[in-house]
Amino acid sequence: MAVLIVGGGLAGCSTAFELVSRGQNVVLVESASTIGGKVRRYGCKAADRCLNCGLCLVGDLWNQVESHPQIQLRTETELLDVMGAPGSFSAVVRHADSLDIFDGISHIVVASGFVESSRAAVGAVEYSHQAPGIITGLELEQLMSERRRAALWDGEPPKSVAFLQCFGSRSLRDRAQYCSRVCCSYASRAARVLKHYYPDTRVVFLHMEQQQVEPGSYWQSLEADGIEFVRSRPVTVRVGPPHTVLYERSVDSTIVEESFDMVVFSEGMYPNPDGERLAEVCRLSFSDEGFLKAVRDSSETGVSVVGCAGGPKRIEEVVAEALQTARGICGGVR
Amino acid sequence: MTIALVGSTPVNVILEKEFAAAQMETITVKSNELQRVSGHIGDFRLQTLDGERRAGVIVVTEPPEAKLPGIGHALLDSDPVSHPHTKPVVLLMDYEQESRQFMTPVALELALFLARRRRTVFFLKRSVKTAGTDQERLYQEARGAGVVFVDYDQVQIAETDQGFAHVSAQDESQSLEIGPCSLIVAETIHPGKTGALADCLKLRRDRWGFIDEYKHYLYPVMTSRRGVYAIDTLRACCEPEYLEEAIAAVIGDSAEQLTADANLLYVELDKEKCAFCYTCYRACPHAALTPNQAEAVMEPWEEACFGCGICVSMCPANALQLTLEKPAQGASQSVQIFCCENSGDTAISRLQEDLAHEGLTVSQVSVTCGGEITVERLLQALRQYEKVIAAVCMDDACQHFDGNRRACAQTERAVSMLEAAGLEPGRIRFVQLSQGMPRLLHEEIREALL
Amino acid sequence: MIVAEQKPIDEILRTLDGFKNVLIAACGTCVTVCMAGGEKEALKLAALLQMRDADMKVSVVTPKRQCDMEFVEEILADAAEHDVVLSLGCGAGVQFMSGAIDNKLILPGLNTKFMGVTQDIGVWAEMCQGCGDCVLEQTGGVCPVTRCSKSNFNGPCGGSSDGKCEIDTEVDCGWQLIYDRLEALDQLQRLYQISEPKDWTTSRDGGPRKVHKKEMIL
Repeated sequence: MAVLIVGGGLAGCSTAFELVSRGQNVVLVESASTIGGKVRRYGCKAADRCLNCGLCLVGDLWNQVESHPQIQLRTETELLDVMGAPGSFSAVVRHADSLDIFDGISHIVVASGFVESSRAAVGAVEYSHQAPGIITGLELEQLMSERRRAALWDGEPPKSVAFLQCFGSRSLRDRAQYCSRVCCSYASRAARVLKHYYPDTRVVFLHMEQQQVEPGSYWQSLEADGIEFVRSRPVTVRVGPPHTVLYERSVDSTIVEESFDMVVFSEGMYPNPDGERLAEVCRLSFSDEGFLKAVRDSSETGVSVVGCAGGPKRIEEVVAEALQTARGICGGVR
Repeated sequence: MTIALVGSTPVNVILEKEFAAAQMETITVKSNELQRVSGHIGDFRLQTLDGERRAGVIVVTEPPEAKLPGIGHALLDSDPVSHPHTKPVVLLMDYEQESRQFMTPVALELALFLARRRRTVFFLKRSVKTAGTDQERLYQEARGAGVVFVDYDQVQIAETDQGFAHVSAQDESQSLEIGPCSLIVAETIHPGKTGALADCLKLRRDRWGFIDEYKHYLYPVMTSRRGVYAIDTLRACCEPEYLEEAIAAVIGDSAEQLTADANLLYVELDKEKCAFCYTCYRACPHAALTPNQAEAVMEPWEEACFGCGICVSMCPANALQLTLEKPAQGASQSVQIFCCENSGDTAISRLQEDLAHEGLTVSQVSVTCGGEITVERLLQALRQYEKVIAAVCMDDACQHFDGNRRACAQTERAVSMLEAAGLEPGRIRFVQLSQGMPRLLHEEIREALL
Repeated sequence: MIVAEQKPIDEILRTLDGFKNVLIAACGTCVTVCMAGGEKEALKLAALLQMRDADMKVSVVTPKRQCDMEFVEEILADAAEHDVVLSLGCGAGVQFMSGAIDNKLILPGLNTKFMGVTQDIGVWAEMCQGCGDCVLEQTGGVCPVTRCSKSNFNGPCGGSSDGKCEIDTEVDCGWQLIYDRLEALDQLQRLYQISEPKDWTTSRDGGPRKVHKKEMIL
């Protein structure tokens, strides 16, 4: 008997590890060539102090999953079909051109994660993704994971950086009428780190609202650090260098044109397009926002949805959910 | 197994029911009746005005205090519906304190309710927090129903002749006057009684004075003390999802902690050496030591101990010792690095390939927490190695709260001792980092070796 | 308890110059609690000495106290094996050991400061100077000898500011404390008691003191 986990990102790997720690066997299928999903590429966003982004909860997870004897890891593999009944599923998976069947699957955990809004956005802000200096939140994370003592990354620091918030979220036109929950947190922390390393760099935060990151006067403290906040909706980005951002200032409805060395799109979370197939195969439904949702309790259906496959979540929320799901599968109290 | 709920709130009723369904009996202790708590998970003794109560696990349900901000209370309208419907209603958020996330759905529902009754509703805010499930849709619905959302920088409140409110709001370019109107204000949240409770239960508080359960490694309900959980019942009233998650976490975690295999890593005390000075008792971030008055020595509880080693390093009598110590790994002629499990350890494992590629080796000593690092250990290391690096967590990231700063203090002392002895102080390096900064450690190691 | 502070390291090292074989005698009572001369501190010093000079032989012993014969007797053998003893006991301990170990130089590692109390981890404050004739009954439990920088007996000097002594803004004015305490206890009338001038012969001024408890002595 084994538990099948679809997706080897934070949610999938956390669940896998919690399950094998409780004596279960796990089959983990991941469509990419390595596990780790997006989180593996994230960087630490502490400036002078830790800001509780939760990344440190990962620890040695990737190595542990890759080397654990009770986890059968199948990369570049997709789940094609599920047969049988809850408690004794058979899962059909595809790797390159060959099919494989796993029998004796007691439970299925769908942890297919999310995609960045830039990949899925419809009629989004016009920009060219190929230009240097125009990056997404995820790319900024990757850059920051290379940080060292005196510099965030190699080369000259940018003289000005614009963070474009709510990219692809909270927008009727983008068909994503929800807040992606994490962008205010990660982008503001990134802005703080930038300002900490390069105090002379102009950092402008173009935002709609300001979600709660910490109790206390978090946003005011960032303003005190010198980060400029402008309530706005960007309209267009003209590729430079320097890049020009055209935006509407909400406060007086004027159109402003400003140039920046670097523009960061704080992408939100969109449902994984694989969700369509997985919903059908695993008999799941969709939430109003288009993320996966279990129709009935997983103790009846044998299928759980963990992580951002079910909607935008923070790292610590995903880890807690993975732990709770693993407990449920192992028949913990409840 | 008995769960002691500390604090009386309506949420207790739900908790009792859910815990009962999980075969757990609950007892309730009012916060002002609790005098002292001793013991450890599985065997807590709560000294109350009614005598001693015992419980396996404690859940703090006392809510933080929700206070109305400093506006004359007479101005605040608790029942705006009954007023003549010509008066507009102002819902004021973020006044004096950034309103919490969980208040948003309450405020939006109220705004929507009033708007549907054809009242003119102004929702004044610095920001509307819609990150929760369905909250964005609620917000759009409220806008669709005619609620006017206003962003403000400054706001002033005055009283009109008939006892209504007059609200003036400004931002950088415009100002808005609304009045006479009915005024509803979002409360400000303060620790309240939870502060004294935290002290009584020896729980760490966060930088805002609340019982610390905000840190990512404590999410969702854990506190600094094993077996003591804290549910923000104020938030639970507004966010049923959170309550569900919290209940599941208490049940799941407590069951696992109580049936876990014996804790292998904890601290042992030499009774002969103990001077009963209470230093370890005060310094322990997890309240894992209890005074044994009969023998006049301190007693560590294996069940409560996290093995962080802070007490070991602090004990002036050298009476405490960890049951496990990891041997140094990796051969090196010149550099030994003390890595804390939460930061340095993982960072260095991400560097192994690069280090090997560059032909650099270090001797690595893993410690559970930087708090275990002592002056003596650093100096002893320098007898064998050219340089010693202590790599611990950043401020606020230490999972044992103070370990990193204790390590900093110890390192500073070691450095000053070297200086006073005419030895090279630069032989000891101290670096604060997180797992996500391997390059930083790489730089330190390269510098130390070359 | 007795509160002491470790001597500056360079001073300790200077006094140990030339000795190749050192016994560091920590003390397991007062100086352990005030973290100046307990086993931990002794081990730190030993590590430093050995780091400086790998040929040096350094041992650490921790008698429970250095002011009672039986405890000192326990380390006589260790003392015999070393050239010199660095005592991390208070002044009383160093002297007692000097008397007991008469063929070895006993060097002090601490500066003994005062009789005091623990205010927080790492913080100790002076409370008593051993004047030998306690007047705390008159002053609500706050000592005018110790807590007043001038040891005034008849009231404040008038130099305080916001309850702080004129010598240092961190130091509370002793008489402010006395007044506040008596007021809180509703005992201000005690300040009107007329007392005889203090007999300072009961303190240091009368020469080295001894206490005999008659019923214990045969």
